[in-house]
Amino acid sequence: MNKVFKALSDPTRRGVLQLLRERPMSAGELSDHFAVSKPTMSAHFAVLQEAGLIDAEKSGRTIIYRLVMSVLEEALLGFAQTFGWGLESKRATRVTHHKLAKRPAKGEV
Amino acid sequence: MALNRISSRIASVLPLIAIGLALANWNAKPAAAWAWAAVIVISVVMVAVQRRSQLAWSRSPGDAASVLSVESVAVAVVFGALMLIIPLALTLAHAYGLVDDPDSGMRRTNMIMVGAYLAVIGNAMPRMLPPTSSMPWGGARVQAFQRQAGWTWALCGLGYAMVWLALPIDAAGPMSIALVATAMIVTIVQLLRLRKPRPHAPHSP
Repeated sequence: MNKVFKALSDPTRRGVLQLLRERPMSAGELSDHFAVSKPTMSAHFAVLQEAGLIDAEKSGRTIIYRLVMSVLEEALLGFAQTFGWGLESKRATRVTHHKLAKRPAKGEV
Repeated sequence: MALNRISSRIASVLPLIAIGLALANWNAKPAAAWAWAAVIVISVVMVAVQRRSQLAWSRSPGDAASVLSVESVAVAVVFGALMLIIPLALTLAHAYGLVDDPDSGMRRTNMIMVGAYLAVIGNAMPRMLPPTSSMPWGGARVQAFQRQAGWTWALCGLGYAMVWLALPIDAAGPMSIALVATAMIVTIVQLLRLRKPRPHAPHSP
């Protein structure tokens, strides 16, 4: 259960689970929705797989991820989104804005 | 994995407790010997099934399907054994004058167990998906059906247990039947919607 809580604590991983609720998706399709590097995305997939929340299936050269969450785990995801999502996404937005503000504009020394 | 080990251990112990209680009941009420003998036989079968599934798992420990089947067998044995243990314990307590009316309590606890079992099965339902490659439309609709069916039966099981916990027995009977019938109708409607062809189905990745 600790692994499940760890997996649900990250907003990106919750986003992946949210996307997989619609349908099984390839690693590339999922990565397109997030502004993070591919190795970071792979690490997120590994955490979700270790927690038993998603399952990977190889189809040719692509890996298809699908949701294997129980009802209780889905309810936990709902709770995490309701009580944690807004706060963390606001914090993430603030950090991104801060980084963008610090980054020098084109042509600037 | 830890949970699996705990549930396997509980599943190994509970049938033995049922055998012990059946022997104690046999001693207290020898007139119903056939009933206690039947309980002992059922408990021995439970032990054998549990051992057999563990043996099969030890031969292929990495196989996800065998892990799932061991878990399913353990959960079924735990619930089956509890449904024997509770009435056996109440009958024994009645034989020793500790409980006045064991029948209503027995029925209530057994029905609560049935509700809990339905909730556990419903909870696990979305995890029992076949491989995506074997499903039409990339598995999206099958996945949605299993999620909805899982929620339906988990809520039905919780409602069933709550009804038998809170309502008088006369009201709990029809109410719990109505709950199960509703869950069945909802699942059948979901299944029929799954079979209906959709012209703009999501494209398989």
